[in-house]
This record gives sequence, C-alpha cells and structure tokens, in this order.
Amino acid sequence: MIVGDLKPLPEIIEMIAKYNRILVLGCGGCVSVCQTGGAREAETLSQLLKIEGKDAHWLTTPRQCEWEFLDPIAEETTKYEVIISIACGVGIQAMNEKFPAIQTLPGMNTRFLGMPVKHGVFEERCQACGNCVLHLTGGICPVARCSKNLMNGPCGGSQNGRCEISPEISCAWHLIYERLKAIGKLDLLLQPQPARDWSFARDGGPRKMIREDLLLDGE
Amino acid sequence: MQSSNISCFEPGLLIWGETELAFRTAAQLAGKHSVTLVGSSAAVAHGDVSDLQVIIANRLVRLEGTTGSFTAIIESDKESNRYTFGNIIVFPNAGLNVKSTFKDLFEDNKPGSVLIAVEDVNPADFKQILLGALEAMARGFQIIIAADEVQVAYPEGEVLYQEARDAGVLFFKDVEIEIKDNGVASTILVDIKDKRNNWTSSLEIGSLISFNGEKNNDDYSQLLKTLGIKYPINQESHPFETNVNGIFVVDPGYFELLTEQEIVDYLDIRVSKDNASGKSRYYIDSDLCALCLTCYRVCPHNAVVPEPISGNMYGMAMHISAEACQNCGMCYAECPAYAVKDTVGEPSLKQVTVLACENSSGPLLKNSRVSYHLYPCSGNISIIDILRAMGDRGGRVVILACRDGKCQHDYGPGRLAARVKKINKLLGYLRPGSRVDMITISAQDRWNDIWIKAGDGDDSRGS
Repeated sequence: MIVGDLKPLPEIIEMIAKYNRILVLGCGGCVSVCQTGGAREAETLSQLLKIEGKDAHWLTTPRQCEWEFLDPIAEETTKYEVIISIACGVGIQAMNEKFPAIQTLPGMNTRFLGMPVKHGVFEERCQACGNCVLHLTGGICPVARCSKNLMNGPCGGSQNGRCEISPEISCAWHLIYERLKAIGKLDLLLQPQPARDWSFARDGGPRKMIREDLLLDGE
Repeated sequence: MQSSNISCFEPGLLIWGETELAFRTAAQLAGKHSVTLVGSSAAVAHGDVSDLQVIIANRLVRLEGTTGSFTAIIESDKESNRYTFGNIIVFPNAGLNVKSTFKDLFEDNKPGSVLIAVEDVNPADFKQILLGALEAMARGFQIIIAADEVQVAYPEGEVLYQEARDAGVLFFKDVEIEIKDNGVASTILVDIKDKRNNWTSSLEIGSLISFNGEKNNDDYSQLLKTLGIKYPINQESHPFETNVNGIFVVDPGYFELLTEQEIVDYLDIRVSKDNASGKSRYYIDSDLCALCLTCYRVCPHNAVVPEPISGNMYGMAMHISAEACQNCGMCYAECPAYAVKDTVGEPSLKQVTVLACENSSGPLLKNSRVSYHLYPCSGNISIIDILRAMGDRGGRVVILACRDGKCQHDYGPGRLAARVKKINKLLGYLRPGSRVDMITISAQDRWNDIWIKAGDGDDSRGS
C-alpha cells in the first residue's frame, strides 16, 4: 500500500499562514491503514490548528482517488478558503483537479509503496518499475530493496548481509541469494540479466494504463 | 462525573458477608445496582433497606461462569436455589480478635513465657499481634512468636518489627509447632521444628496462643479456597481483586489506607463496568473498517477476530468477541478510521481537566473537586480525548494512569505514554500554554499528593 507520513506541523502552519477557515481532509484508504491520514488523524490535525487560532474543520472521503467519492463533498469545499489533504499525492492531485476553485494543499509526504513488517514499522517493497522480475529473484525486489537497483548483484559493498549505505538495510542480493539457495534455484543467478529497460519505470515519463476491456460505452 | 448506562447491569451483584461493612456496602450499592446480600445467619441484615434482597443461606455449593454471568447454587436448611450474578463481592468476617485475646492474657495476670503461634494472618492482624506482644513484654511476659511469615507490609512495618526485637520478643520463622505435653504441669512442652533446616527445639512455656487466619476465621476463607479463588492479587493498584475477574474479596486487613467510604466507592466503580452484563462495550462498524488490523494487533486479550461476511469487498470483517473482551477500549482509542464504536457513547470532554484510568483513580477522584472523566483503562485515552479536553484554545490536561507493569490490561500505560510524548511534541510547535502531564499512581494515593507531584502551582483547578 501507499505509505506516507504527516508533514512537520510547523511546515503545515506556514503553508496556511494566510488562511483562516480551513478544511482538513482525510482518506479512508491506504493512509488510514498506515495511521497517518485517516479520520482520527484528520480530526487531530484540525484540533491542533484550532489551538493555533484557525477556524479548522475536518472530513474524510472513503478514498480520495475516485471522482465519485469526491462528488459528495463538492458543496462542502466551497465553505473554506483552503483545504489541507492528508491523503497521498494521488488524492491531493485529484482534489485539485476536481475542485480547481480551491487549493488543496499537501499535509502529507507520500513516501513509498510498502507494508508494515510489524505494527508501526513500514518498509519499502515496490517502486512500480513496470517490469517485475520477482520470478528471477526468489520474490525479493532488486529495484526497491537494492540501494543501487542492481540487476546482477551483490556489489562489493555488501557486508554480513548488510548494505554499505546503512547497517539497517539488508543487502537485497544477499537475501536473493539465500532465498534462491533455499528453493534450489541458484542456477537463475548463472544467467546474467541484461541492462534494464527503464522506460517502463518513471524514467520513461508519466505513465498511463488503458484497459480496453473495461472501457464503458461512449468513453 | 462519570455517568454510565446502568441498563446494562443485568444480572446483578452478589454480596456475601455478615459484617457491618458488608451490610453498609450492600445498602449503598442497592440503589444503583440490583444487589442480593447473602449470609449464613440472621445477623446478616443489620437493618432494613428497600431494594436490597437478603437471603439467609448456609452454603455456596457451586460457582461457575465468568464475569457478567456467574451461576451460583446457594443452599440453606430448607432449599437449594440457583442464581445468576454479574459480579460477586465477598466480605470475610472480622479478624482474629487479637486485641481481646491479649486482653484475656493480661487479665489472667500470670506473667511467664507465652508462645504465640501465627499462621496465615493478614498484615493488619499481624500488626495487632506485634503491638500486643510489645505490651505483654512491658508487663513482664516473655513473648516468643513462631510465625510462618513475618508481615511488614503496612506503614512503619519494619520499624515495629525492629522495636519488637529490641524489646526482647523472640521470633521463629517458618516453623511448625507440636504440643508434647499440655496437661498436668503448669507449663506446656512444645517442639518447634524448622522445616527447611531440619532441626527441632523443645521449649517449656507458660501459655500458648494460636492465631490461625485460615482455621480461626470464618467459612469464607474455606469457601474461597474450595472455589480456587486467590487473593490478594496486585493489591497496590487493584484492591480487592482476586484471580477471578468479577469476584472481589474485601478483607480490610489489607487496606489500612482506605476509608470505608473509599472502599464502597471503589467497589461501585468496579462493578459498574459494562462487562458485568457479559456483553462487550465496544463493537466494530464494518462499513467504516479499513481492515488495517490495528485493533487485532493491539488487543491485549486477543478478543478481536476476523469473521467471514458477505457484503463488503474483503469478504470479511473484524469482530469483537464478547467472551474475551475485557472492555479496556484500547481498540477504540487506536482505530484510525473510527470504526470501533462505544455503546456507552462519546463523552463530552468540555471543561474536563483530568482524564483518568478508573482502576487506579476512581475512588481518589470521587472526593476531589476537579472535573474529570474516567476510562476503563489508560490505554483507552487517545490523543483525540486529550485534545477535546483541552478545548479549542488549548490548555493543560492531567492524566492519571496505573503504574507501568500494574495495568490489568498489560500495557495500557505504555501505549498512553507514547501518545503523550507525541502530542506534547506537536503542542510544542503551537503557541505556548498547552501540554499534557501523565502521572502514574496506585489506588491508595491521596489526591493532594498527586497534585503536588504534578508540580503545578495552579491551585485554581485543584481541590
């Protein structure tokens, strides 16, 4: 899921310095699950802004990345000078696109695609590179989990299973090796991978996916 | 003041005991709860109280079930009946009459040596024994005390013990007494056996007094023992609790620092918890649930379970099991989507200065003049509660919680402490004047001591 955390409070306060009547908008999707942008957090932020002297209110949408979930709050948005959204970057942009008459500012820094490896600890697992090679690496992603995105690792900096960048980061290729060994597929490593075509990733420009089979008539 | 929905309180409360304290407690609680008072003789009813059902019965034959639905079979001479209760409070008969025993000894007025055998007595009675021993020494007796355990768990306990030794009282600890010859001579021959080190000593003494908490006392100790009920447990934070949730034993010998009214008030709060009905106070609205699993992971009692349902995209919903739920409310405090609901309803926290765990702070706050709100556990106090109590202009909020390690829901204070740290950091970025103070206490602390601990010179909100 998408993982993010709230912007530092001073930064948010600075962003809304010129405004008084503010809506804090939460989201019931991923950011609820990572406990950063759900109903509870939206109310918390609005209370803090009230203490700071703002006329702050709060709402949540089931998700902020669907137009239909934004329709019901259309009228509500007209009552405020500015909106702070604590949804992920997708939701924030959807709000700006749907309601151009009012600014929706980001209250959240969207960080990565990841999962809670234990409650409260979220780790990056996927970078949406567009060309998944997990079948070649025993299920461990060399794009998201290797600091250098190596396709044929490990590099010389791998020590005791740890990445040279930080001892807190596992060396992905060490994990890949151990995993392939455990499932008896080390022969996959004998096959060097060619230089990756990054055009499927963000490097190829903003991406789009069209599902011909889903298009509704007339669209 | 806390107001709870008392319509949840079927079935009612069983009070078993014949002392005046039992009766007064039953009388006070009878207005708010459905109370049945049971004792083995007509002495159980020290007066006439409407709303109070009194039963004279010989024995509690059987007790089963769990808090919220205990089934008790109570037998009297004529009949045997089955009852259902939500909670049970037992009042053992008063102590060992230590004072009158010493009084008899002094009246006989034959100074000599006295062996006092002490077994299974509570701290208050032990204190009385030491005081009696000191007076006896002053009157010329030689006192020898053979105790299974020297109790010092009361104020100045160690001091009194030392004083007794300084006065010449001899102590044997962890020994057994066997009377060898009690008859003809004016002295008694007694063997004292040390169980662990395997030696035996023979004494010739003038008199022998025995205080045995288990045998001298009433049916109740036997009763509790037969039922497997152990007490006291964690007495500092949770007075009167036993190893069975929903059963309380009020042996005032263990609670020197609480007044009688405080005892009654505390019991009132404890039996007012909604789990007396066997239903859970909290439930999950699956329409709002994001299936983030926070409640599932946080619950200290493993009471949250996923249940297969149709009607949502996940094919399942999180569900709170009433049998396992202890109503601590930690799930309620942490659900990011506000999907966990409270049947008691949301409190208005306007003008509330103190948020407190009812287990440690209930009786304490009843006598104070601050406005407060009680929670079933400090783990149930969320950042939103704190902010709502603070109000739109900010301010100070004080939280009273059980000491870490003493929480009956394992880690409520720990989770609360992390939230307090976070909110104080955020409040630090706003205009000054707002902060939260978290104070951990035990049920026997006094209100004024707490206020001094908070270091807050602001007496306008104090009592």
